Amino acid sequence: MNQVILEVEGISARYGDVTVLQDVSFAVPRGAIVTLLGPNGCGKTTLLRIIGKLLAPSAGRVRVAGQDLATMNQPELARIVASVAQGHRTSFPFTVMDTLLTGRMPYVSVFASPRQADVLLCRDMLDWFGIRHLEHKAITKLSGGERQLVMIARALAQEPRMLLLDEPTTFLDLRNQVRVLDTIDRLARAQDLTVLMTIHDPNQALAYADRAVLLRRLAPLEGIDPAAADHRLPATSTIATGDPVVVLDPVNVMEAYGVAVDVIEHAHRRLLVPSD
Amino acid sequence: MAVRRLPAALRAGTGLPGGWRTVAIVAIALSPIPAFVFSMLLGSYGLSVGDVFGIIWSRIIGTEAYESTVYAVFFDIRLPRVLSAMLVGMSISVAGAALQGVLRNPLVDPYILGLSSGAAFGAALAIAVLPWLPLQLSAFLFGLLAMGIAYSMARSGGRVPIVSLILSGVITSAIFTALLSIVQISAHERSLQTIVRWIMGSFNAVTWSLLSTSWFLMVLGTIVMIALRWRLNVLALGDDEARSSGMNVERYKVVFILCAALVSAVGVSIAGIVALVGLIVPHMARMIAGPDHRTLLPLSAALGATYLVLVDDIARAALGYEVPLSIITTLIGAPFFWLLLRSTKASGWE
Repeated sequence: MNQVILEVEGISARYGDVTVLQDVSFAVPRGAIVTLLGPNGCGKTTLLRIIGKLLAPSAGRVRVAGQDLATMNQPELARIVASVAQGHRTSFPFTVMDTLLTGRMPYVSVFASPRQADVLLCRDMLDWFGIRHLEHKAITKLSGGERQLVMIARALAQEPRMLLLDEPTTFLDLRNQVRVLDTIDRLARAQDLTVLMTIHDPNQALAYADRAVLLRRLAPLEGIDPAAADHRLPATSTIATGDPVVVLDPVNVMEAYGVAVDVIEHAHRRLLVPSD
Repeated sequence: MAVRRLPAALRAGTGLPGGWRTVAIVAIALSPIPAFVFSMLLGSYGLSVGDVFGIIWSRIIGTEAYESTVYAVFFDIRLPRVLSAMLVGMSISVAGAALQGVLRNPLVDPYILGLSSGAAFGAALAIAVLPWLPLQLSAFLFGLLAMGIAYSMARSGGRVPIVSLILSGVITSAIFTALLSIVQISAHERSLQTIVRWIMGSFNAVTWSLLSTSWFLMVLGTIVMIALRWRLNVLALGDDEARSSGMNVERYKVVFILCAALVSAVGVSIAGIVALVGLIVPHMARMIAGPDHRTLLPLSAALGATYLVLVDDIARAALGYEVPLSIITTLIGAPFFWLLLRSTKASGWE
């Protein structure tokens, strides 16, 4: 139990008649960075939402720190798992500090407000991210990268053991992508934090992840009639799980994305580039 | 500037810049007191500031320093009216602030879920069709009924999406407005005029017995919303974000909507429909102090109490006769709000 913080067992999910996930299983060891990859529509976000208990699966089970998710309530789960959704939009010009304080929700009793200790903890968080100077700034006035860091810091204010991130680098420029991923990497190493994130770019997975889960898209490709007798759903959404180098080989990448790639080794790093 | 030791309300935040924000918050927080004194000395039976304190003091120590008519006007006519205006102003403003936070929508006021149309229909029913029905009770019950209908229409799969809630409110309002129209076209002229006047809002029918049955719910609902106000910050970031940080989102939505409904329905049953207060006061407070609900709700309470009691002062003392409240709140409040919107850089909502 101490070694494995998340177990996903046979998870399937449906939106109405459309099956989005089929029989997905994998385990996440404590302190690891695990990336979920796959083409658009493969169910990465759905899977993350199921793990965050924002959505119910149609089959299968999720175990968090050994306990079945179905038996946990939201406040219990929030002490273990924190989520950061994709691209956050807000109507209110809250300050960065007020935004971070909302992450303290599991620890603030019903008729109370956050206390000085909560504020100090959030301040430490800001220091750690190097954005303390933004403490009193309205989040609506921040750049995309800064806002993303704030939302990650907010998730961390929950003092979780695992972080779920949905495409944390989308909408960010190169500098901010590197900044966010490096910060996540630092966190996982320094604070024994487990990270499960969905990622578009296989190269980012190769650079940062300890493990990868590659999913395929279940919905039929364009031009194929879904009701045709010879169309069957694959048995599982999962193409491969495990070491990113093994998972992200050209064969699997072709199956997932329909793109031929070449492997390039450079300065102890491995890169995938589309073939000519 | 040393900000570490200041309470949350006075720390720098969004809203007016630094020092102005603090000054404005303190001024508004204290404003109900002078507003109260001013309201108590105003009227066809003129009093001075000294008189106001003198009358209260003499009643406390039990002497009869003034004529008995003075005491009658002061304690039996003016005081319940001024207190009602402050209580209703306070609770409708807090309800508006809470609902704007829960529904994440700046165009929301406590009437949006069908309350005003339901209450108006209930009042019309009691005035024109079923005279044995107590007016306040009918307005109160039908107001709550309308909100309950809107809420259950919007609920699906254990969740209440915000857009559904607002749309259901619009639909319910339309239905009750139609029912109201039926009552209006079939009513006598005199009943019709009574109905119209009631709808436009007034505190002139307030007595101690009416206040004594109403104050508790208004105070209780307001206290609950203020006690839970930090939760609105969490809700304001989004349902999913709030759920992920461990909040039981649906339960808190129900609690806030219920409290807002209750205090607003009581307010409407006393005073009729007071347009724009629950919409504008929270916006003004937000422009001054920023969106942090820890400051916003108490500030809205103070601002709402002062605002409505001053409006009622105009209603009863400016001209020779009673001016309906909604006319004043709309004619004065709306342009004032527009000016404020133009002059402040921070709109409190983006």
